[in-house]
Amino acid sequence: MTTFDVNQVKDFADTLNAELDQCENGEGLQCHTIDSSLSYCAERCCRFTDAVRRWGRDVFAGKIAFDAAVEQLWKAELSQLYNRALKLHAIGTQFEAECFVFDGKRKLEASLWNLHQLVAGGWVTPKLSVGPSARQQLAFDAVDRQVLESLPPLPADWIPSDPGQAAQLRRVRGT
Amino acid sequence: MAGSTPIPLVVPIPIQLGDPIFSAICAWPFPDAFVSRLLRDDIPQRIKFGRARMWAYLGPARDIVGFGSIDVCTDYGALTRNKPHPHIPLLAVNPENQGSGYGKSIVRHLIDEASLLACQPGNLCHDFLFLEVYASSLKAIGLYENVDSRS
Repeated sequence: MTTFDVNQVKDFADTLNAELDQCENGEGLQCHTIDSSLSYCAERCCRFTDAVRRWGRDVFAGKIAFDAAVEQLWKAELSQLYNRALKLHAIGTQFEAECFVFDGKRKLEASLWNLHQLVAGGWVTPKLSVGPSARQQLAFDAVDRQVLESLPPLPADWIPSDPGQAAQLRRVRGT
Repeated sequence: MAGSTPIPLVVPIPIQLGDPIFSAICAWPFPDAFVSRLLRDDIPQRIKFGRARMWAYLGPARDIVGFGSIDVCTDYGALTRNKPHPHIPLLAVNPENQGSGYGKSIVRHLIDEASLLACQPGNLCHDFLFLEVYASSLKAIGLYENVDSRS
């Protein structure tokens, strides 16, 4: 999908919904267990989130024009997919035993969280960026590159002064 | 840095788009109109569709003295072989607190965030940090030129 017009978004959503229909009906080898069904749904949620975010970024960068009909379609499909995934998540919860969690359920929870982030705090309608860097391909010459390449790397013993950042660095380094 | 003015400490607080703090910051009377435009129009999109995060900064009196944001994008991919890099789309000091040195603390925090991103396993983020500044923003230019990221 490169232009995100209404037909393309519709095709994308229809394909995704058809795949989930097949999974729910137990068709194919990819959904032969509850765990694999949860994973399958999680992957579709991730694909959907990625597509919406790519659409938003492309409008922001001026690569495509904003179309209100496309936005409405995304929002409707998002709501439908979210509710569908929640129902599957509830089924997964029912079949879990104490001290046993489906791997697929964890994946689905992560992908549900990402889906939810698209609407958390309110939906944002994409528009062309105000700042120039996102929408302009800035030209740089060899001198610019040379200046950047000559910058020293981050010292190996660097420690941020903020305690929260320092703790995060320790976690990153495993120290 | 003997003889220099001490930099006031600020406490970063991560904020989300729906937070009342975000709305409060949007209402600040920024002298430069572009700050409000970027805050209202660009930052939400960078958070929602990109990988941007935003912080409010508390001063010693526990009031919000400024905010900052950092994105991971490829806006300057021409200089990073298209590898994602940290980018500061916007930061500002509360107009009521300008001239107190908070800008330097905010920039320091954002530079350190960018450094943390570059330290993440997998080498997924370039260690070049980019920002834009309007040629007319002489105070901002002076601030960025004087910040030593390793001090």
